[in-house]
Amino acid sequence: LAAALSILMLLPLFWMLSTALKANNDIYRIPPQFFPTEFQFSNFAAGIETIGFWSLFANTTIIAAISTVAKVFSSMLVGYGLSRIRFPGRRIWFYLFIGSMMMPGVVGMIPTFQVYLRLGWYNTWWPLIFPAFFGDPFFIFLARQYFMSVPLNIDEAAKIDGAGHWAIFTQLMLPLTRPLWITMAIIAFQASWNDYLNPLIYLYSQDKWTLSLGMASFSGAFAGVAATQWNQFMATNLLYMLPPLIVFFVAQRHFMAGLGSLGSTAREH
Amino acid sequence: VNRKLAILVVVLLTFALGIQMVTAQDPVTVTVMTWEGADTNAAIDAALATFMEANPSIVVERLPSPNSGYGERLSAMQLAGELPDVFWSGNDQMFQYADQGALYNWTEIATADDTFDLGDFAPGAIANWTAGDGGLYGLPTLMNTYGVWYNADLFTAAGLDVPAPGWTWDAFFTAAETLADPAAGMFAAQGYELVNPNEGIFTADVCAQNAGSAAPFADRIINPTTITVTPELVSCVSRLAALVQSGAITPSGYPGDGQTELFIAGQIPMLVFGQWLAPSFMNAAPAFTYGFAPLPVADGVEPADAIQLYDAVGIASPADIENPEAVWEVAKFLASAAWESILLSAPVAPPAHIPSAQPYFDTLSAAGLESAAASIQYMLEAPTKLPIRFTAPWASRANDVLGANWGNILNGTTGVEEGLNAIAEQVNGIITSASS
Repeated sequence: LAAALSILMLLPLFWMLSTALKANNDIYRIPPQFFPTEFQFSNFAAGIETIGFWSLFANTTIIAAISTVAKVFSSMLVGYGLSRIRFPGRRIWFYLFIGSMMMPGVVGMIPTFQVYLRLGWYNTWWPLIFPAFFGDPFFIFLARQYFMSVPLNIDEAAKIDGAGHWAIFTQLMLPLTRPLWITMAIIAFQASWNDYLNPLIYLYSQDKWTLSLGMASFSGAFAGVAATQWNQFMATNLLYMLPPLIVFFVAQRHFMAGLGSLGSTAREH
Repeated sequence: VNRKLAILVVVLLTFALGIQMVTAQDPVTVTVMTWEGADTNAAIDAALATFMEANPSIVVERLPSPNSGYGERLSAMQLAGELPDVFWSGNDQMFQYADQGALYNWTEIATADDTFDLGDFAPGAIANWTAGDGGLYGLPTLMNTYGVWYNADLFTAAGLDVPAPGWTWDAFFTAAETLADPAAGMFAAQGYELVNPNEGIFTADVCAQNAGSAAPFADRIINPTTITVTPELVSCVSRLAALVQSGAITPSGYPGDGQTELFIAGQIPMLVFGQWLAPSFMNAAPAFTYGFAPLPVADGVEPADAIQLYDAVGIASPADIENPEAVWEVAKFLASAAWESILLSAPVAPPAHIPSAQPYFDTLSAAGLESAAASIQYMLEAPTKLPIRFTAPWASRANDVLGANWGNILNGTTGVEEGLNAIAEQVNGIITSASS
């Protein structure tokens, strides 16, 4: 049963590979054929050339890498503060972060667009990277809950040895919470890699585009009717989805541990 | 001293004139943004290259944009003051931006241009790209036509006349009754454009109007002000509903996806769809004789009086363009001659500019689709056109009303007259509240 379910789950991936290798006429054949009548490997080269894949790949890698590091680090820092440092109103801050998760992202789109426009950041990568330095409400929630499950006597022992909050955070908490921030990093990287709307509205010039925009440019609307070069799209899509897959497989052990540990109940200090 | 001063003045004047001459010779850059895919953009680039060769004083720079989210991208560019000089636009988008005063009014330049005759566009095209204030805020580029793709072999085998321009609704309904095989699960017609909620009622209205209806369902293509249900519309929808209920025509909500493939496989005698399927059929080369006929008319309606559907996309320019003359030259080209070469590789839709449409028709004919070429030309040149859907700021609310009622009318849950009157009453209410 497990094998059958696995094959079922992988079927779309195999179909994508099959379409990537088909000629135009093969794609629309009735009844559909899984194996191409003629393997057209040139779809890979043509797809890459059509959208200028490698420069978009470089752009996306830079944006995704910076925003992932920034988002994870800032969220961990805020989560640490909310769980470990006693200051007036920390519960209110926490509820504000949680509350902001309930607000649809689209609500803030126009005001933030106006802000970035006035800052002169239209057609730059800043609107895609800058918000990451201010944390992510969901990540802050995860971090705060995770930190609260770490016994306080670890901090107290470190403080007796003269460690301050920065030392405790970087030398004790970060190693202890590795599964958590690796989980966050995988989620953040995937979100940034696949982000479509923000690059769409902020990036005017093609030389600044990300891969998600490049992939979408395979589809057009001729006379208002959708038209897509499916074989080239699927061929390029295989390359497009590789980096998040690699990141996942490299870190999957920590990812599983991270997800598992999130189920543990946090203690209120 | 005077001599030196005179020499200095001459030198300065020469320098200033030189700068002016260089400036005058600098080409003007015009930016263009499309919503097309990579292949079509390549064909557009090739066409623009020929334009630039013929107009060395103008450089056209095409800005790419994915089709998905095109509207959002356009809005962001408008907020940033970065709208391109010419951009692809839907009819509704054009009116939305024109209402905001965001578009350039081409009326004066177009009227003064002796080399470009707005009368060369298909009937209804320019009228529907003209705003309420009489301003021409854009130009139509491509038009969609809606008709019936038919499997000629199945018609001939059943002893039916093959559909052709001027065929009647009686012939369509008879063919649907004859060709259906509900027991075998075979519909006579995949009636997408007849049964889908947003467009079906407008297609049915073609039947009513050709039958001499006193008023169209929607009184205007753009921003209609009144919705009317006539006895002819009730009669046409009743016949359609009877065929849906008998299993001859697909019901409302029947998925349109995959029907093209079933037609290619010879399993659907009629497909009520648009001309844009032509390239797919040309690629697939079905193993039977097939063709494309216009939507039928009523008995006795002359081709010159036929009423068909209107659907166009086009181009527009922002109000603050710096070089209107240069932009107009590019816009003119993109609304006419450009399509003579672009459509050769993908004959998806006819240009609204009739003199530029001949290569499109020739391409279809060369691929054995003479019937499609003739039918599309017939529909394009139909003097009276009806809307295919609501085009107004309140369209989504009106579409909700259609969605709630149209399927029930076709499947018999609601009486035809009762259901149509309910639609008219609710949509008229929406129009009244939107205008107050």
